[in-house]
This record gives sequence, structure tokens and C-alpha cells, in this order.
Amino acid sequence: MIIIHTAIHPEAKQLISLLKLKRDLEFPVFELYRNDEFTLIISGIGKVNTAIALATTIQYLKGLGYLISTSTLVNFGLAGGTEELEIGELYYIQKITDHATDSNYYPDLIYINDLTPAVLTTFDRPVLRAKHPELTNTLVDMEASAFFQTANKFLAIHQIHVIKILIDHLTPQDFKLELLTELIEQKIDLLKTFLNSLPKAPILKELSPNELAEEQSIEKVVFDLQLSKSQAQQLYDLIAQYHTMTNLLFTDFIRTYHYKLSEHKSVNANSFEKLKAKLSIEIGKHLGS
Amino acid sequence: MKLGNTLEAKLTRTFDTIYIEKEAQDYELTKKIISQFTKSQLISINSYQEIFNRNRQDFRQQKLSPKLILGIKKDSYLYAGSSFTPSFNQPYFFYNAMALNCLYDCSYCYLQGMFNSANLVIFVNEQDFYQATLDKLAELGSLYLSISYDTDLLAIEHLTGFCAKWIELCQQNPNLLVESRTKSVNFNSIKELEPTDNFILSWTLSPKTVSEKIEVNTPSLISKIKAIKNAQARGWKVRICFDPLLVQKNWMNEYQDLIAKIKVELDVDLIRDFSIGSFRMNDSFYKKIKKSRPNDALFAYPYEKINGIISYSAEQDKKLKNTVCQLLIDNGVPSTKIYL
Repeated sequence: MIIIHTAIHPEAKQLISLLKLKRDLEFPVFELYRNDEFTLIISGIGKVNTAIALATTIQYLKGLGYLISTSTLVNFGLAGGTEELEIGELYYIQKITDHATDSNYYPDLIYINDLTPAVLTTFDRPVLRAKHPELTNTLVDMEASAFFQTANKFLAIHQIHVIKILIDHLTPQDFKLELLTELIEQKIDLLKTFLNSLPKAPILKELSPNELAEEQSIEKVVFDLQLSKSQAQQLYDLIAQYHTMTNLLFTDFIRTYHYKLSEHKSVNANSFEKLKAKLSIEIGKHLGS
Repeated sequence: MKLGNTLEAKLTRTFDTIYIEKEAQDYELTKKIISQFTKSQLISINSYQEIFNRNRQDFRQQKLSPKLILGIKKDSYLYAGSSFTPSFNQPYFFYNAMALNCLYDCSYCYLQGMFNSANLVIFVNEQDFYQATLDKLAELGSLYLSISYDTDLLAIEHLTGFCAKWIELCQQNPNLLVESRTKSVNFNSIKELEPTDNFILSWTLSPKTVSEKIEVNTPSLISKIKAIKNAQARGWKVRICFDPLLVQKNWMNEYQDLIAKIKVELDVDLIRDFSIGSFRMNDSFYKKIKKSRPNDALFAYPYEKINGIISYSAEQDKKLKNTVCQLLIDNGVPSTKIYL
């Protein structure tokens, strides 16, 4: 699941359409749109709204059965910025500074994207250039630090991304909705490519037919003997050693090994102990060689 | 919209981002290092810990595309030697940490249990390390220092020049004994330097299968042997470490082959000594690594835990060490040159 957060509806409009998201009316307080792959939450402006909306969304999706630990969180929205930065550019944020607390947050960029890297400062209120002459080479927004801080409570750093489109050079008084729509439109393909570049889940190598068969054989034993989580781990450990020491497949081993099936826990436990002992003997034959 | 397949996601380059402590910015070494990465993003940070000690980092994911952090070490330029590492009968055994983490990704490496981050930290205030060592040397009269402890210093010598400086210090201070342990083939970066007996170039060698399957990203066994050969040709007396010994299929034959290869390819007289140790690890590191490597056979072995240390049973440990020791003796290595 990729969870996208925006502060206001105009930042979300084109994404909702691009990703074909449907409003989920069951979700309380905030506007939430989703399909099977994406969720988009609109929090309202500011750090408090962001933190509440994001935490609530994650809990809500967990309740629906989505696996949050392998999800990706993306903050997308408009930002102001100093004059060195280009209006209309889509930026990937590598450092976020919270202006109020001076805390810094650093996303981990593991996968290549085509966005321009930049740093960003999150303020508690709109920033006027005249009042902040000290700012150089930074974007400015009102949500990113809270987004990152909240997201990091649930996910690893490399699963959290902040993407901003530069709307003005710190002249929020001139903000025009139409301009935002137009700028996003110009970058929508780049945004789409970025979302495409995100890994859906942690990198897993594709299983070979043998590995797949092994996985299925192990799962069958776990199911047949009603093994607990810790017993299943013991079995996985033993089979890993069996592979290393014998270069043989568990699938072949289990084909000729018969264990007693029962509805009684104690009988299954006994069968499991016997299976472990037999595997250990096979491993032991190779330990000294 | 169809999402991209995970397998299609492309990794960023190693060190595509360099985080630099504000205090480290003006150091010559910082300038030297960043001049070698002209395409990297430079990000200013307050302290290396801001990046290195962040919450919820994923070591395995970060290993896919590690970043570089240049920082200042404020204290602890010397640590008392750990019981995990042999002291080679030296009375004053210390180690230091001029860098944290390593370019390689060995499955058995304790660093992945010790650190939250897979990013490489280099401390650019090198003079503080040299001075602290010289002060301690003056106080104790002699000192044995392991400089490549929580890292592989020779592997990054082209970036830092640390080994070259230590060699120079050893030449000036005969009572200072320094060991630099490596799996790299980066001998070329120091090949022009005059050998000195009190700087020990030490290579960790493992059988071909272990080297290929478990010591991920390390140079091949053949390349390592070639680098050692070059070092010997330049007059260096090297140390060879078989550490950690691992129980693998056919491990005995594999070590037999490895030792035979060493005998053929290297000048055994120019091997200062051999150091042998079997796999052992702090229990908390072990648990953390096992969790991050759920399908790794190395962490599936029924080790024993004694006093918070995970290791082979005493019997297995003895068998591993004695077997390799005997193989060395059978190949003409005097037992006085073997440290267990």
C-alpha cells in the first residue's frame, strides 16, 4: 500500500483522478480516498492536522487488514522556496528542518528517482520573504516535519518520502489555485514515474521452483502439525542448516518421512520432536566432514 | 495505475549522498574525500549521530545503497581491547574507531547487530586519534593497536590515507605495534610505502565457498591472495586470519584447499603468523541480526550461549580450531606461528 498525504484538496485532485481513487465515507473527520494499492488522505493545513490524520489513517488501514509494515508513505504538496529554486519544479526532500524546534529529519533515498533533491524547512505559519531574509536555498512548508515524525513512528525511514512542488518564492499572498493546478499538471507524469519507482514491498528475491517447493513443504508441515510460531521458527532454522550441510532438499526428505497426524496437541508435539531429531541426525552426519 | 515491480526499482549509487557535520566541513580530509564524489549530494548536518543513530533504520535496505557520513569524533580515541579479539600476547592492547561500518556485507559481521545504520562514517579529525595514541604510548612504553576494528580501513584507504599515516607513525615509534585487518585488495594504495615490522598488514581469508556466498561484496579469494603476494613482494610480513571459522558443508576439505593454495601462492616464511578464531558473537547482536536475516542458515545453527556469548559448543569449537591448526602444521607452519 502506498499512502499519500496532502494538506489541501487542490494538491490531491489530480492524484485522485490519476490513481482512480474512491472516497471512503466510512473514514471519520478527514477526506480519505483509496483503492487496493493507494490511499490518499487530506489532512488540512499544519503540523497538528497532519499528525492526527496520518496516525488515524494508518490505524484505520490496519483495521481493514492492510500490512502497514511494508507500506510506503509519501507527503506531496505545494511549497514556497527561496529564489535559487525554480517555480514549478518537483523536489525530492532530503532534509527537513522543523523551524520551531530546530529538529532535523533525513529521509533515506535507496532507490533512484528523477526528482531534484532539495532541503526544506517546516514553519508553523505562512512565510513571507520580507520577514525571513535569512533563508537560503530551502523550500518552506507547514507539514513535512510532522509528517516525517509521525510516519517514522510506524515505518522505517526508507519507506517515508516527501515530494514538493514549488509554487512561489515566499509570496503566499499571491497564491492562485489555478497556478497550482497548472504546475501539478505539468509534473504529473514525473510524479507518476516517481510513484512507479517505489518498491511495493521490501526487496524479495523471486523464488526458484525448488525454493517454492521447499516453502510449500515447510508450510504443509507447519499446518499438519499445528506448529506454534516458535516451533515453526525452529523448523525453518533446522531446514536452513539441513540445506547448508547436505545440499539436499527438505521436499525430498519429507516425501519419504512419515509423521503421525492428530488432533491432539501432545501427539503433534511428539511428532515434531521426532522430525527434529531425524533432521538433526541428517545434519550431524555432515558436521564432521 | 500499475505499480512498478519491486525488482525493477533501481538502487541509487553507493555514496550518492554525503552527510557532512558542520564542524567537519573545513577539514582537509573532508575536502579530499568529497573531491572524489563530484556527483554526490552534500547535506550539512549538526552531528553524525543525527544520521547514524536515527530511529527505525533498516540495515539490510541501507546496505543496498549506503551513504557516507563525515563527522568529528569528540572523545574515545582509544578503547581497551575486547575479549573477542586475540591480543597476540601483547600486554597493552587497544583498538580505535576512525570509521564505523564497512563497504562489505558479510553475513556473520557483528556490526549489523551493533549499529542501527549501514551507512559508513569516517571521522575526519584524524590528528586526535594519532595524538591520543602517542600520548598513551608515552605513558605505557609500548602499545598494540588494532586500527581496523569496526570497519575495514584498507578498503577505504584511497579515500582517507589513514593506513599510510599509521605506517609513518610506526616507522617513527618502534614500540608502537599496529594491526590493520582487511578483506580488501587495496594494497596498491600503500604499495609505495617502506615496510615496517611494527605495522601488521593482516588479511582475513575464508574458503572459496564462504568468500563467495557469505562474505558478500568482498573481493574474490584469488584477488585477495594476489594482493597478499604483492605485499610480500614489497617486503611486508603479513598476518593471515582464519576468523571466523564456520561450520559449512565440507568445511574441512575447504580449509585444506585454502591452506594448500596459500602454500603454493604465498611465501609462507613471509607470513608473520596465523590467527584462528571460530564464530562467536554477543547475544544481543546475534538476536538482532537473526531477525533481519530470517532465512540465513548461518543464524539457524544451534549455537550455545555462555555468559551472553553465542558460539559453537566447546567441542565443536575445539574441533574447528584444532583441525585448521593441524592443517597448517601439516603444511609446514611452525606451531609457534599459530594463535588460537
